[in-house]
Amino acid sequence: MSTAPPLSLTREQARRLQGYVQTYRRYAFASLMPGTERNTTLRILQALQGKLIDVMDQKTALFTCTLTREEMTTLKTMTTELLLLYAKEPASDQRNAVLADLAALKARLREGGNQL
Amino acid sequence: MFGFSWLFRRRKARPTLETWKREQPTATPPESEPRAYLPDAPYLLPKDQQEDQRLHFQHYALHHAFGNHYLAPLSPETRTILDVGTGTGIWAIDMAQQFPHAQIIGVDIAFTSLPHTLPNTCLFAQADVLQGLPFPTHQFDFTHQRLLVLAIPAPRWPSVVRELVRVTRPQGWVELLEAGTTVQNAGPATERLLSWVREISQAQGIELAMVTHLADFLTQAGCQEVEAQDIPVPLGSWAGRSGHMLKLDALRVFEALRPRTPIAPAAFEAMLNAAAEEWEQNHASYVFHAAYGRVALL
Repeated sequence: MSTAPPLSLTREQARRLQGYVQTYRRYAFASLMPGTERNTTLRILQALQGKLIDVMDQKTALFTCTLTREEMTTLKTMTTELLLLYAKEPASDQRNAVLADLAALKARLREGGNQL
Repeated sequence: MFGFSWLFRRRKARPTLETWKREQPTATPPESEPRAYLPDAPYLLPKDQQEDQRLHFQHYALHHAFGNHYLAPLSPETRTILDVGTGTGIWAIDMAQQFPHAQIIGVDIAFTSLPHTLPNTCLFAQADVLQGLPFPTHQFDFTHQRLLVLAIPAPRWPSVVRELVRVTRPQGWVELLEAGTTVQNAGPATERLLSWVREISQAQGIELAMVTHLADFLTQAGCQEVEAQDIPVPLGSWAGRSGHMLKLDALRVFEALRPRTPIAPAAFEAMLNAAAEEWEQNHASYVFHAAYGRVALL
């Protein structure tokens, strides 16, 4: 399994990323029909969430999360879909902050995930 | 290993995946033989070979519906897993493939449904969660219990969940998955069936509405980061393989509950057929209730 460049995260960034993964999983379970593509995405995100929680438990301020290319691709897809979902919500400071955060995440993932 | 090896049993031969595929239930159950029920246990469903086949089938139907055998974001380092109400043991066996380095223990009040051969990392213990689990405190990384609502009297839910949390280590996960009586886009025949299930459950001290409080039970028992979600799963062949599998399973569940009621078989079958037709026409979904949380640090 090939790996993408490691993703360096602060604790706060990891917490937010974990939250986005959870939000996406909730959305997918509630709104997408079960099928191979949805289920594969959900499995990858669930495993990634487990990894993130694992490294967050280590109590270090900054840590590195090594992602597989498959995980990186899935994260990009998730980020794109979340951007579309949040964009449909009524304008608010909170929505704008989430959109900006997701856009930054997407850009970093596109760069290869060597920084966040 | 745990110092509890005297509790556990291993079996010798196990039906293959092909066996259960050949034996999977069909829409029309075989002509009714008397069903066997557990004596001295508040469990509404039968405990016999036909039910074991259904449970196997249901396991794969749920995997199609949810995409995995569990929902909690488990660490890849998960090493000890407990399955409460393990039934045929199929969940534990499949988890052994996913977590090859984990020790997995399944408990159930009866061993009769277990397969004959098991992975080396799977063990089974006879235990009744209503009487307490035979394990020390903080033993497991992950404790899992699903579809036991027809076995747990309503007032016992908080103590059952406390027991699951007790045997799970701090920062470990406890997961509950249950089915209630909510069907989205249900028609009148489905509503009648569900109402009837609620009535026979209540007569036995079982309250299906408890499944909407799973997250509360986890929180009250000391879990944090509790995540709860109601997951609608398409019910019927209109939704492809996953929906078709769930439909067959649901029909079998209702059929298995029929002997608990005075309704005549023909009238019951007519009601079941009408409900199944509604699922297809209305594009119905069966709502599952899931909750998982992390045991708080000491």
